[in-house]
Amino acid sequence: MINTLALNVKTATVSTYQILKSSKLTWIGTLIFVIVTLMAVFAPYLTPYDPISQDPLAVLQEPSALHWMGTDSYGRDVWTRMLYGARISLFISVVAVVAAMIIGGALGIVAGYYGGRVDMMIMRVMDIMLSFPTLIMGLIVVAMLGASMTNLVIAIALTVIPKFARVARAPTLSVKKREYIEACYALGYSDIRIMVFHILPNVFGEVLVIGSLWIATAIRIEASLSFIGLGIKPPTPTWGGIIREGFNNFLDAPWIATYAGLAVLVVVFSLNLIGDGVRDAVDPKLRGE
Amino acid sequence: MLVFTLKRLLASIPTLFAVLTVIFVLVRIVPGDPALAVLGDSASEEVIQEFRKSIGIDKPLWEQYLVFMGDVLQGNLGLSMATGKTVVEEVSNVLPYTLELTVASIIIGVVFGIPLGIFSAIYRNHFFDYLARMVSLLGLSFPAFYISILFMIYLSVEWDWFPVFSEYIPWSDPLTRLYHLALPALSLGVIMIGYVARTSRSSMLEVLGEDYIRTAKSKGLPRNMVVFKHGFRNALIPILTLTGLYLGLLMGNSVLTEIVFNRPGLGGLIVGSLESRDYTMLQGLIVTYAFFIVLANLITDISYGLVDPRVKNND
Repeated sequence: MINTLALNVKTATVSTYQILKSSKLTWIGTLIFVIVTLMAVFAPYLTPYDPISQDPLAVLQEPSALHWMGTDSYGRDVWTRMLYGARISLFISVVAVVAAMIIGGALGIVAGYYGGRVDMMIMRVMDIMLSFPTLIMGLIVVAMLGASMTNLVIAIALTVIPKFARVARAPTLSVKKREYIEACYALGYSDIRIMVFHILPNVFGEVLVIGSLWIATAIRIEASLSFIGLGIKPPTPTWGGIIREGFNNFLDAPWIATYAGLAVLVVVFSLNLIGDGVRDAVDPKLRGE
Repeated sequence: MLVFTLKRLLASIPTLFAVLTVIFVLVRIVPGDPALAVLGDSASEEVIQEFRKSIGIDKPLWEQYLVFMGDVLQGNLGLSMATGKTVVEEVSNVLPYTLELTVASIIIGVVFGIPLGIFSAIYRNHFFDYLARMVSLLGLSFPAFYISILFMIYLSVEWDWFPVFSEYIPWSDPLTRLYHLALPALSLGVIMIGYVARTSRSSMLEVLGEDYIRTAKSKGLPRNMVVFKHGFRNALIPILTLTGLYLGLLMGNSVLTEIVFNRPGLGGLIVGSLESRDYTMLQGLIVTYAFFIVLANLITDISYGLVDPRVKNND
């Protein structure tokens, strides 16, 4: 099995099946993430409450059979808000990572393909971006553009683009020396055609695999920004915003921040479990012999 | 060693220049006029012109750039639009708090993380390894603000072990200051342990798979000698690099921890400047962060040379 994995790394394709097969924990991680995603999708069917309308008679109630995670200072059911918040937080994170994957991947391929000055310019800029802590970068971008869903996506995407550029550049460098690329030159194909149809397919697998790793980070950044108050404005529920609300009432209602944060922790942890399995599969050196 | 250090120092100058240029461009492509942001829409044209002149944004871009660069190199980051004090003064007031928090969390991370990772690698696929991997993965999955809130709710409020909020405490009272530092540092430290342990484990595993380890083993050297003298020292290089990289992560996380514990620091300053639209302060803070990140990379580079003589000699 180790051999098949090693072989696959050479061709830069690791199938999902192999990753899942390689570790039980990856399975658990995937299962948790799928369940959470389904819960977000079917949120209205999983709760009798509304995430936004307030109930002055049920303010800051402790967790009970009626309100699993208690209620917040406006009398809203925290569990319901977490469910609806998952829609927004997951959506922003996934869209941002996919956008970063496309832009960063393209930049990496262009840098690796043209080499020389183009490469130096692109990678220099990427290095500078990379030298900024992801959270601070996100903070600056949202602060400058203003807090909205689009701007959050832009901010998170910008912080992850350089990572994808690096991941895409490395295999491009080796692929472009292959004979079939030389054949493409000989046939007079345009640069764009070569990059899109002949290099991209070889790079795609690796970029996709790394993408799954960055969703965890994206979720954390989104939650952190909303916690600071730079996320989507209330009353729209977001994970970071709910935890902030709980934090503001932590003396009266410590359960809000505790449970809401626990939910975020579980999701990030599950994604990291998946990421761990992926990394092990990509890098067989770290696996048992 | 001195030549190596100097070379590295010189090499970091262009990076710093590039970063400053990016900051200059970034701050200027922001939509919205800072003058309007500060003075409000109702300000008269004259007042606005006066304001633009006072902060130097009435000049052509290239001149602004030169002035900006000159100022930064002289350690002048301008006046805070909100408080009127110099940015340098505001930053240096709180910087020690952020630095001590960062350093303390790195120490916690390294002291607990490296042994955890090393033993995890030595006992690979045993129970201890699984446990250590789960613990470290859990540690790094924590959003910084969540672990801070948990510690605060349960260790400060419920059990009253630590002060709930931090405040300015002079170093003349070191014990109280450390006491206030403990919980924030522990919050960030737990996350760091996760990262450092994982890095240590994987780099140790990589080293243990090398040919020279097999040679050392087959020479009949004692196991401890193989693991620690031949293995650990070589594993230390990547551990150091990545710890250097995590410094950036830590600076980001420290913003959150500082907010939760209401600790003085760059975090409070950055959030304050965002709220009051204090552009000079924001720009100054970005420069400060950039400076420290370049510095961290430099220190990491130099410590390479100390740990691995090959790096120094190749240069």
